[in-house]
Amino acid sequence: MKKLLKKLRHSTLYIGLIMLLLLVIAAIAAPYICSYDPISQDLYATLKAPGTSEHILGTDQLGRDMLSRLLYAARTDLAVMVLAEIVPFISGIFIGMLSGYFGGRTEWIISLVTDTFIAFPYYLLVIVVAFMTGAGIHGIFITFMIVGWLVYARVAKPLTASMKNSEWVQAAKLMGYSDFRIIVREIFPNVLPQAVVVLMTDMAALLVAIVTLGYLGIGITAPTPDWGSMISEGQTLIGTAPYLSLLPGLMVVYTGISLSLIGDGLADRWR
Amino acid sequence: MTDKIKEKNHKAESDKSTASNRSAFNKSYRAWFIRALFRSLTVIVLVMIAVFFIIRLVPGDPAVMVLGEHADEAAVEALRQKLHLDMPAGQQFIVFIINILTSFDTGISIKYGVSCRSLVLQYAPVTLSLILLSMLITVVLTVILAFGAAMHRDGILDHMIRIIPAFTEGMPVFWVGLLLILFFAVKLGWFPVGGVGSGGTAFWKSLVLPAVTIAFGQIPPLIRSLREQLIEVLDADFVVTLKAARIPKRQIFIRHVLRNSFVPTLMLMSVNLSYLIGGTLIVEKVFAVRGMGKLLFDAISNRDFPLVQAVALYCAIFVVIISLVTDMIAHRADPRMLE
Amino acid sequence: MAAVSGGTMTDSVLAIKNLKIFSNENDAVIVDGIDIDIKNGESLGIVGESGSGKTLTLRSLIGLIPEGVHISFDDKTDNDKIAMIFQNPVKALDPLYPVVKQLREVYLAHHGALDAHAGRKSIGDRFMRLLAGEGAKNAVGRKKSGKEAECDKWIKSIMQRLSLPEGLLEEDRYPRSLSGGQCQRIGIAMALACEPEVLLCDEPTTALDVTVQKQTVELIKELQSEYGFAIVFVTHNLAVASEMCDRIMVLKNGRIVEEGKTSELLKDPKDSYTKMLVDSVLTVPERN
Repeated sequence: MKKLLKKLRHSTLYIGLIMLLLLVIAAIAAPYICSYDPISQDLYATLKAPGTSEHILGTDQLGRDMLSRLLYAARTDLAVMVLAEIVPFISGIFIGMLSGYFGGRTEWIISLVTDTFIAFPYYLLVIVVAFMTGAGIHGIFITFMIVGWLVYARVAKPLTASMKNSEWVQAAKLMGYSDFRIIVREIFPNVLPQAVVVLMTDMAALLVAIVTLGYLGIGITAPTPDWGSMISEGQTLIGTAPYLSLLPGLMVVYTGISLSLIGDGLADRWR
Repeated sequence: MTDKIKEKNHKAESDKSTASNRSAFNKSYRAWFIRALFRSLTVIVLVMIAVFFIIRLVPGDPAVMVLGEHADEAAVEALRQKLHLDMPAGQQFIVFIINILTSFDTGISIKYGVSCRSLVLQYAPVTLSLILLSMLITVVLTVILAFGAAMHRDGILDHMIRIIPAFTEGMPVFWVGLLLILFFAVKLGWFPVGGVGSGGTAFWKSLVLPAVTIAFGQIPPLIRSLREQLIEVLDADFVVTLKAARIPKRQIFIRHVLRNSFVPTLMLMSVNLSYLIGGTLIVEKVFAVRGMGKLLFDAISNRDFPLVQAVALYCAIFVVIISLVTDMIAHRADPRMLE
Repeated sequence: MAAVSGGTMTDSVLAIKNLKIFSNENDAVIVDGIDIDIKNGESLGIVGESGSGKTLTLRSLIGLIPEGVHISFDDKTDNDKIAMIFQNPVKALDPLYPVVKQLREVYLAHHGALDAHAGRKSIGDRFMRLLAGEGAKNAVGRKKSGKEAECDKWIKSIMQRLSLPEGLLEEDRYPRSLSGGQCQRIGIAMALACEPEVLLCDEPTTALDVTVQKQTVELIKELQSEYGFAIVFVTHNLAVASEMCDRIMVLKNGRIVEEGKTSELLKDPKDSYTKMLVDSVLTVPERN
């Protein structure tokens, strides 16, 4: 039994990857798998529970097919999740590296900014920006660019700081390499693995944020299907048709688990 | 709480039998405290400035929002004047600062027409009670479960604690809330589906599910952190010394192990608190609780500047105070941090 | 369950037969069946390289086995009155506790006076002061119980005896602001507070400066003749062991390769490994 558990722990990376892959494939292939259009309503077939009709996962209160809605929502939500991470990921790592490498005043200023951001109610900022740019995908991108870099900076800084005094950095300096080159070619590749591990967890958190905004009505808006708005629409019928809210939630949890497993697996591997 | 500690410190100093090295410690502690206080105030000011300007970037004219799209031009203009919206931003800012310093108020709410401070005071107690309850649940469960896992390493509890966070991390707060409503309110009927009850028991009862929802998100990472610390400490040399001296295990745990372990977890918890402010917003929406979260949300959608500022100020102060207090506890418990 | 001193087979204050220590990971054998028998007042040295299982053996004797390891044995003569001192003196003390306070705690715990120490305050109150860095002891205006007065007296005398700075009584300090030698002596004081019949020493001199090493060894020997406890002294340094002990046991890869009286062992080592150890002792070259 213990051995089985051990094997399981060692293969977390693969399990996570497979899970994620399945979802991504299903999302990409959505137009081919789903026989129904996610937005077309069929008021003669409303609120069919899963497994009771040709709609495999049932329909919602407007007769829209749940399966297609879920998969199309996956396309949107996952795409936003990945794309919105790009800028914060890179900028955060660089800010962290600069802060850790140069120390002194650079570090002091950056840490003061960091503290301010932390004290700032996160969702306040998110909501404000969402209103600023009009609800929708833009808001998410902009907000995340403003606050998303924090996590990566916080990971990169101590790593860089501890590497700064190591022998090979000193050697590189003696050889006359510029600071910039040292940071990019020596330090960055060593910071990257840890940052990627954090990326996995962060993406899961970002997905939750996207879905939360959808729930609050200020994220991805109708008619584009989004797991968050699906949950919100299903809330009133939670007693009679719980699947309306549960299914999209499960999708989010599923994605979160797979990302988490990948992150754990990578962390174990790169320790 | 902290005053009591300081008071007892002074009394200990006068009690000449084995005083600890108090004078040196107190001095460096005081120096640190002043610096931390200063830094906290700076942060509050920065947050206020940021909020002030950001909310004004949101498109939409508040006067129009209040009076409606088809209101009379003159009326709109009059309202704008009344709210100082016609002044340049810089001047508005000065009025704003003066207002805060004198009456500790950010102005009159555009939408509700009453002092923002009174609105905040009206809605804050609910939110604070909610946070308090959830913190209580969080701390108790975290300590018990982390301790259990650390003491019986590789046992069932331990494995569960290591696996479960992977699941809960991906769970949106509101979805968890909905699940809880589904099981405990709808199916089992133990708790109300939403809203805030009035009067003693009903009040707290209605806050249970929301509090559990909040705690649910906080607990797994905290347990992980505390467990790691506990394991590290439990294996340390000095614990063996204490055990070798046959000091009862319970005493070793409370007096030595716990104190050496809890600081990083405490830090994590205090960072979580900032996200908690947003967390209450969502939870309040899910459970239809009328608290600060809802107030904030409405304020933003109504472009109600003063109210948004008031809530943001309250949040920032709250977070900063919590950080300061946890820092104080941490520095007192572990004097090494002062260096 | 104290051992009986005096009498036939149980002149032993501590003994264990066929001790085996296994690692929890794949049940690897760390110590493969050793016998230890310690008589009243004697000093046994256990010499071996790092990894030979010396520390684990000591821990098994006192019953404080670390995580990741399990043991088995055929027979054990236990003793409640065992104390232990450790290799890294600073780490052997709680970094967040001033040293005299720790010493006091050990004394009072051993003499069954813990409740007096704790005082009758609410848990919440104690918890807060705990976090504040004070012991639960600092209650205002409480009369000191008899045990505490004894404790104070004892501490004063033991600190004098061990040449610890008297200033500590007035201004207690944390372990990190004391030298290694001083921390080690605090550790010894804590051990003595338990009135041991056996003192287990886990390489207590290894982490100390050479001059301090000699002082510590001499101190322990003096204390042994004063208090009359037995000693088990673990070290990788044969020279120190021979200074300290009547009997030496050589441990290699978890087995006893040779055992005997110190003088005999040094003069005429039978096992090759022992020979190697004896030969590798560096001596100061003869001065002309």
